Amino acid sequence: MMVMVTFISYNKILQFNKSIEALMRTNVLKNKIVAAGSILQDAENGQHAFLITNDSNFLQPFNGAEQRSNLVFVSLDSLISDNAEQQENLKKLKILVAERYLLLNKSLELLQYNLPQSFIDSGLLKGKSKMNEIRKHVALMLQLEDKLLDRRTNVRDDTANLTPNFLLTLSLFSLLAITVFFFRLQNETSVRISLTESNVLLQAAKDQIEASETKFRTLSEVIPHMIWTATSNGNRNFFNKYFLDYTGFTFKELNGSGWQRIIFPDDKEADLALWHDSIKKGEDFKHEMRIRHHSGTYRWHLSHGIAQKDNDGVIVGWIGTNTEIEDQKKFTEVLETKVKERTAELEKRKIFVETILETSQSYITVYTKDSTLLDLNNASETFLGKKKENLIGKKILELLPNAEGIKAEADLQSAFNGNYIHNKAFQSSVTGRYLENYIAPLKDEEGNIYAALLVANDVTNIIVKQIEIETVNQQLQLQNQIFELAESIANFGSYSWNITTGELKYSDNLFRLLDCDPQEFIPSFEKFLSFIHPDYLQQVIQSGEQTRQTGVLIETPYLIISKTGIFKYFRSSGKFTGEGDHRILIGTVQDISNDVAASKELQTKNLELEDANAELASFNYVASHDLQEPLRKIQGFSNRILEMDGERLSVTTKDYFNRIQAAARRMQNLIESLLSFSRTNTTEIIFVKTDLNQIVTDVKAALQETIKEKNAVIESQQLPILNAVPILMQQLFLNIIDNALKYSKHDVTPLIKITAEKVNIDEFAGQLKRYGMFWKIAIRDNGIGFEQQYEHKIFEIFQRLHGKTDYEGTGIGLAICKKIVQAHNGAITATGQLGVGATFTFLLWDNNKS
Amino acid sequence: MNHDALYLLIADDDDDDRLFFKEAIEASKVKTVLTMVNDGVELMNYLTKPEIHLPNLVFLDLNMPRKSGIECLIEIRNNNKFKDLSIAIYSTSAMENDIEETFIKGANIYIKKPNDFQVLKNILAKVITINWQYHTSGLNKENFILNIE
Repeated sequence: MMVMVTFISYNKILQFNKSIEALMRTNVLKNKIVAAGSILQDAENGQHAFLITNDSNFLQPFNGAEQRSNLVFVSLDSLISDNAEQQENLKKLKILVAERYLLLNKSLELLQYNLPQSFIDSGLLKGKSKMNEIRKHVALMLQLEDKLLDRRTNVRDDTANLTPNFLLTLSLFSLLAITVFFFRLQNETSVRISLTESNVLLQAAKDQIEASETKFRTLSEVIPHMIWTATSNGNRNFFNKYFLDYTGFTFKELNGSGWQRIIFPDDKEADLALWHDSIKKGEDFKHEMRIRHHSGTYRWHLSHGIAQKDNDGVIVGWIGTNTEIEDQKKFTEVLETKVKERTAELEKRKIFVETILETSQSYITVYTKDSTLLDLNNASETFLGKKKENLIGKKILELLPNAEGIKAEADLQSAFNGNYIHNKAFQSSVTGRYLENYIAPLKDEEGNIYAALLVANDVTNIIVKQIEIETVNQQLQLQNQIFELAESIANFGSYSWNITTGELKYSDNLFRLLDCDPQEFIPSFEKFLSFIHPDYLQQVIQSGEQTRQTGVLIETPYLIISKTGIFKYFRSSGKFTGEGDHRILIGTVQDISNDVAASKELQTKNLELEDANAELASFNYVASHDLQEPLRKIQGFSNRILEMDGERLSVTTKDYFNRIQAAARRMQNLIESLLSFSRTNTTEIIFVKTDLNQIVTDVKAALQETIKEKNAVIESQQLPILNAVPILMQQLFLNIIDNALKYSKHDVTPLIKITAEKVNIDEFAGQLKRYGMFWKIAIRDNGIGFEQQYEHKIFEIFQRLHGKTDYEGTGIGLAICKKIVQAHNGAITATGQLGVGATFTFLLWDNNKS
Repeated sequence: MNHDALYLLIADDDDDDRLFFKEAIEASKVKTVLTMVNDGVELMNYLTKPEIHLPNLVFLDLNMPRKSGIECLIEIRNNNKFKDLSIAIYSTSAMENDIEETFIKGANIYIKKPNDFQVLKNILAKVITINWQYHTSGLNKENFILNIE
């Protein structure tokens, strides 16, 4: 029985050990969990601090935090290998932590891209919520561990209590037994032996208990946390080495309620209240308070006390730890203050930036890796035409369900592969407007791409303007080309001259006109003058000055000597554009050398013509006077002979003299006709108002002898007054009427009728070189007429239809009439009937300019 | 000095024309004293001689060498001494501008030299019987050119 008891106690002791171990493990585990939490907390704090201050020093806790966390997790893994539930929890925790790290990195990333604050904020918010989750989870795990700790503590307590009690019982029992057996063994040495044995066993057990106690003590001395135990009513009865070292007090000083002195005065009241509360309620005690370091400073600690309960649930004691959280607390405090300040500032800026963002005309959208819309700004909302809520979460192809969407999706995918896309202006097939977009991948803290940012701008105005400018440019280019071509064809160049700055520009062809290569030199007024012929230099300079002052360009030709020494006549034209200081003279320079040459030639020819005409006029005069003079004499003297000695002469002789006279007369007529004919050439065609009625009267007067002789009657309608050459009109009417009288029938009284009517001829007909209003004048006689077939012949010079002895005539008369009529822009025709009469009709243009 | 005779002067460079003229004048019944000069220079020389009896009527040919008829006409009309002198232009020319010019320059009448002697006689008879005093006033071109009815 003793053995049994011993075994049981041995087991119990083992159990006790195990429970201590478990307790330790749990403690360690807890610490590890807390550590994991604190690493993450450090990281978060660091990242927040960095976000606020941009001081990369704060990132130290952040950098590598994840690795450290992972190490912790690894050690945790081994610690919880027996606890399935905790393993599960750990798994979850790992995930949460990982996610948290992700978020932290993301936030950093976002900061890099200068994305709107709302994104960072949302990141931060997510982080915060994630952190809460983690804390909860950690708390859960800790709770579990605490429970475990409780259990194990209980177990230990139980065993601890049980063991001593048990041992006590045992020892008492054994004592009893020994006593009993002693008396019994007084008779029996075996009983004594067993007693000694049981004593030995007892000792062994005691030793073991002590050993485990020592183990516990050793452990507690080693652990770098303050560990304390207390009685059930709260009197602290144990402080581990660390505790004492830290506070600098001795056990005696702290024992009982002396430990209260280590509490920061301000925290004391709260702490004690809470402690007493815990004791009363039997609940676990947790409190943050400032504890005195042996150096005199107070540091924040987390005090945690767990009640040790026996089998009946009665508290038999307390065990607790104080973990220093000073740095964290301080850090957190400072951080919190800074964060508060910063948040306020950021809030202000956030609103400001948000306003800018939301009023931005750019379409800003964010898509997740599966091309789902994550977020968008107001402009995008308007563009897509739906509310934000209805858009977020939709796939891009749902939002842009056409070729654009397909392209956008492809671009997004490309971005998710790490590419930065820039699409220059393209036309939306939906709206017809021109858009330009940029797509950039968004990376988290680890550099993993988790989303893509799409920013699009409506550049329609720019594009339209560009197209307009392009079109205008093309037109201008075309115009320029046409102009340049025109310049070279028409032999002129152009220039623009800024009078104020003196800047002078020449067109390519102007250079060519000067026999230079285009843009061979920089044009200037001085350079221009260097081309001018010395004789014209003065004129040009004066002209230039005048232009500068009056703003009017006088176009006077001048002579230049080209680069290759060729003399050319130039004429400049110019016109001012612009105002005041911006006045620019633009104009052309034309090579008029050909014109000048032609003009000179014309002048020369004119002079020659004038000379020729003068010669001709004098010739005419000679002809009219000197040629006729001998004829007069012939006639005259023949006449005198006949008169004086007519009776004495034979008939034949008389006849001969008559023939001589006749011949002389013919000669005279011919000369006179020729003179008339030539006069139609040399007479200057000056149209003046001519009354044809007067002309007829004059002609009648001139022919009065013949008219009287033949008893001719000349009837005339009212004839017009028109612009004509009077002397030629006289000739015209004279010739025709004279003919009518000449070719009259012997036995019939000549009747000559003159008619006039106005006609409109609207196309070129016959000989006419004009059209419009004409005066149609007809002179009809009742003479011998002519055969119509000879109509054209009679107007030819020297052509006659009769022999000269039948009818006098030179054959020039009608040719002269034709010439005269043509000089008046008219035409003449004749109709005749042999034996009936003839009608001569001529058209005189009514529009001859006087 | 023959007081009731008409003093005539002809200035013509053509011998034959002078001959015709002389014969035509002689055929007339009017009592005349005829002087003949060969050209304009001779004419002016003669007219400016102080001792001569100024002619009543000068027949002036236009085409004369040295000094033309026009020139003489101008000179005569510029000289106050010859204000009573009537001038008949006696020319072959029928040129409009000649007629015009002589009219403007102050000739009294324009006679175109006829071919026919008979016609010449008639003309001259007519001319020399004109009462020149009345004829010099109210001149117009119609009357200027002598026409024989």
